Amino acid sequence: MSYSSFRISKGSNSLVVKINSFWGILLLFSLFSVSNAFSQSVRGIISDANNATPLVSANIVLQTTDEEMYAGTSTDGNGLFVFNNVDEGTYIVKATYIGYEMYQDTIVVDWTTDVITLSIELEPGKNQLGDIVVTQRGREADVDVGQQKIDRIDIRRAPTPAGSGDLATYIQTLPGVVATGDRGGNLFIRGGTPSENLTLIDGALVYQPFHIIGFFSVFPEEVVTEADFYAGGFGPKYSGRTSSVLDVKLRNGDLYERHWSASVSPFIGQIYFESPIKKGETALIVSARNSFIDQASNLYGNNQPMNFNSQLIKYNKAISAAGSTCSALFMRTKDEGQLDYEEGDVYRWNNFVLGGKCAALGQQGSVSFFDINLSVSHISNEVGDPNDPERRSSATVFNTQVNMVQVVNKLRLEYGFYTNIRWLDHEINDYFIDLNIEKRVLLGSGAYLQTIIPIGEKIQLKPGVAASWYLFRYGVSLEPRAQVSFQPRGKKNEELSAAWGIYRQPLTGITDFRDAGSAFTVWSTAPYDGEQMTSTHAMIGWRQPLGDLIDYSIEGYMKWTEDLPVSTWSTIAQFNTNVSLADGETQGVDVKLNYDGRVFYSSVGYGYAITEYTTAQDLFSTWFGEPIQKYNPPHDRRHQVNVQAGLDFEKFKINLSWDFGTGLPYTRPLGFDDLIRFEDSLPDVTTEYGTPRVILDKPFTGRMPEFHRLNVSVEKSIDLQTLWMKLQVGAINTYDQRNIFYYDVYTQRRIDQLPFFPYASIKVETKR
Amino acid sequence: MRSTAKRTAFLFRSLVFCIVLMGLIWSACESPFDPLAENDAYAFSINGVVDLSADTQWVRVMPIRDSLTFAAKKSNATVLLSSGSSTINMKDSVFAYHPSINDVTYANNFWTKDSLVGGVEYTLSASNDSGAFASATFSIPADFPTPVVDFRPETKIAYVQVSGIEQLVVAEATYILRYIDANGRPQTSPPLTVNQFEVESVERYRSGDFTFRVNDMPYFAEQLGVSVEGITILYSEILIISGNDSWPRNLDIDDDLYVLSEDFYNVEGGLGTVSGVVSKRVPLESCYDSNNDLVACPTLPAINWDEQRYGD
Repeated sequence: MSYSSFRISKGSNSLVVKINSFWGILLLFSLFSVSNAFSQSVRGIISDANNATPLVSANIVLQTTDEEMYAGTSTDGNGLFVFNNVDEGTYIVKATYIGYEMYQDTIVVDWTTDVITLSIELEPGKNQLGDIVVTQRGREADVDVGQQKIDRIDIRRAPTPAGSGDLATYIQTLPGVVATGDRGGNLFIRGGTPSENLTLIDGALVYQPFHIIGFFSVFPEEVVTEADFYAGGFGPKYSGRTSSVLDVKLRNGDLYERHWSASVSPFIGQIYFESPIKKGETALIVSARNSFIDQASNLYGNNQPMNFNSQLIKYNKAISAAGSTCSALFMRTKDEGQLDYEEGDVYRWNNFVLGGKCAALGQQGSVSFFDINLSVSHISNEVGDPNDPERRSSATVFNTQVNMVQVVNKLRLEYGFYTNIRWLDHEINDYFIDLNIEKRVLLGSGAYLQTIIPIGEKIQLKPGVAASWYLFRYGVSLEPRAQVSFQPRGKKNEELSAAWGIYRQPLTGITDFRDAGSAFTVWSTAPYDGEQMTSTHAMIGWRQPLGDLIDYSIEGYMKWTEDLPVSTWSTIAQFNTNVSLADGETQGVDVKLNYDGRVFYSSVGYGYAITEYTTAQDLFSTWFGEPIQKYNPPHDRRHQVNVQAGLDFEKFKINLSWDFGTGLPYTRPLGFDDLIRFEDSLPDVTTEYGTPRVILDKPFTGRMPEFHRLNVSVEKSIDLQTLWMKLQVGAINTYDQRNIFYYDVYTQRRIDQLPFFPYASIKVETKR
Repeated sequence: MRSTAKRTAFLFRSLVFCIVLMGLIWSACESPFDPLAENDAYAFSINGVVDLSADTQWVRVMPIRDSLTFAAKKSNATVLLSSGSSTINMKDSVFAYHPSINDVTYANNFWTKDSLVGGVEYTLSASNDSGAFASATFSIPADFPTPVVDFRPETKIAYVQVSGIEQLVVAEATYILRYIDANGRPQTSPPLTVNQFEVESVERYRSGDFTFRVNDMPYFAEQLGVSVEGITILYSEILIISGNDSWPRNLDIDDDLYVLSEDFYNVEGGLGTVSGVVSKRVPLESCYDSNNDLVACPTLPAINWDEQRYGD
């Protein structure tokens, strides 16, 4: 263990990071900022020395000069640590993180110093495996109920028909996550719809992060440092969505060395490049992907007319001596294809994201850390004839947000402010005829506050509130939320936790999910100029390790959602609909069991959920004699099992995943006849055939067959001195299960998901 | 300690192996998927009008089928039209239709040439060997006098006198016009039909004796870009149909409600409408008797316009 292999910068007590007057006003606005309410404070950020990535859950201790423990803590999600009320004296600072060399230094705390700031950069150590840091990962992490920490190891272990793993493939293996098929890019999280999911990429919104081929997203393993996935119960920092949060932290470029990778498979080709711009100061990552499935599938005699490409660039700076850093990102995606291969409409969508972020340690006062985010996010989507799409919709948001962390004695405050302006536009040609407004601008702002209150040694309470306001549209709304955790034996990874919260969503994404075969979303404010969609979450969970290698978690949850826009029921099997409002209720249980050995690893997840919508529509009384109807929406998967297993033996990796889900609801046809109408004239059955029509049963009373699929991959790594060559063979749907994607009741065709689809991939990458 | 960990690992591997094995075994059992729900509510779809004035009655009787398209075959249905002690066994006939150039589809239309009686209630029933049964009960209005038309050539406006009508359910005028187009060339229009309920203030479902005005030329003049005086009427007729409560009401409702609501059907055990009517088709011109008094013109037969050829 080397004590010398570190770089350290001490900001001392000088105001290196100038907090300008604006932020000063914001700080004053935080009434709880009591600048002199503490004595000496030691705070800092621990990051990776090579790429300035903050290290989460790194351990840091202060020891007295005779090496007795004085205080210890671990870094938060920003890589931040804070020691308050430190007595005057000389201390040894030790920072450790699995996979990195230990850092050690000596600091002096005396009356001349209110705050000592440290920017600690840890050098990657010897106990690395490729570019993957061997850590205990989620098993030791401080996670809340509903939260899942995802790192590159997780992503890599899910068999993906490409040279790299993908976050989209991994997320679909989690209990509570329902994908209605292997195309379309729609994920339903614990009963919520895709438009209720919030996806952030370094703090910037991505409207549609998943590609048209369901195995892929804009997040290949190369670009992801880690991701926090909240299936519900998330804190007030996240607002504007009612179901889930996927908060992805992109990798920083290496400040000292150049790395690259390139891979190709029948599904996709991708390149990744990472290089310092100014050595030790700035770096860049570039990732580009292009699908080949449209062309390659012809070789299999089973054309899959779907295409996508995406590009991602991130620029990052080193963490300065004062603990500040900035980064910027650009991302764009383009997807196009037919979900119904034979005669369906062509769907297209484009994402565009431009974002910038600066973060810094507070050099004085009680604000320990703050970051500023600016971003522009845009989505456009359309469907129909490729040369003249019948329906299109777009949404653009410019968002600015400030987040702060303040520690007063033992009380940790996290708060922030945001302002955004949205431009919404749609042209739908009677598709959703209730939506008669084509363009709208929505200006909103909000704030949040969350505190962490320890109650004794074993209980931690996290109350918080989010407030939002939208000019001329919605009034001020408050969203109280709270989380509580109990660690009966004082261990972070053995915890009973619960969460409750109210969530509101100013934008609704309206999709015709009557047949689950649609990927067109109209982004709009609430229909009928109504209230924001509101959801209340309540969940409770327990997690516990069983020995060194096994851990399990079990979570129960309930969600109640109001003012949810749904397709108005129709007995006409045409892809047009009106919009009605519904209330939704979801309850379920997710269980996950992990085994994480050195050679063999596996996880088994089971999810049970029941989602029910209640809606009142004009025709119900006429049809059914009751004005209110309850039904299970088309994403109501009752049981789901996901099994993942793998072997990592020398230079071989074998991964498999088996997914099972019970059938999704659909509307059953009773039969067919021909509609003869009497509007204008005397109907003449000898000359008029009439309009063929389907006679439908009550909506969603049928269930499609269950879904199950086994994906397998085998990878061999070949050492080429400075490079790794990774050869992979695998198969999607290995035993060729005929899984239905959706059933077109009008044409009586079942559209199936991918059949058995073998593939091979090759990837070449530099060693790290 | 080490052996415990090994045992745990072994158990876990076994668990995963078993689950995957179960999955593989399961995969051998393909789940059947029969998308159609059991239908015990609707046996037949029955649609048509029984017209006292027609020499042949045609009614579409089709089983509720299990596919969108229908192959050409004789129906095994028995269709009876009965009133009191009299029963007519309607005959089956398969018709081919061409909804587009390349498509052909078929339907069973049942017919009879037997004469019917106005002002009488009839029941049309359909059944088959498997026990499916549906029926519609309707009455045919009493016959009414042929309408009298008073056509004014100078304004091209006609006044139509009807009497003894139970409910006016259809009033439509059909024209063939000649005019000079913008390039100075004479043109002949195809048959142009105008629903009088949409153009003039002719009240649908009106009963008894009344006169209404037919003034369609200003509309055509605007559409054709000519003056009313520039239009020559080559052919004109008006169809007047008397119906009753068996004629469906609220016809402007959207398809959703129309499909499922029994309020708009009179077929029990099925879907559709059978309505009894009396129709009169007369020229839209004045006819006079020997005393030069305005009288009703002789009625016209129905014309299948698709089979006619017009123009130069």
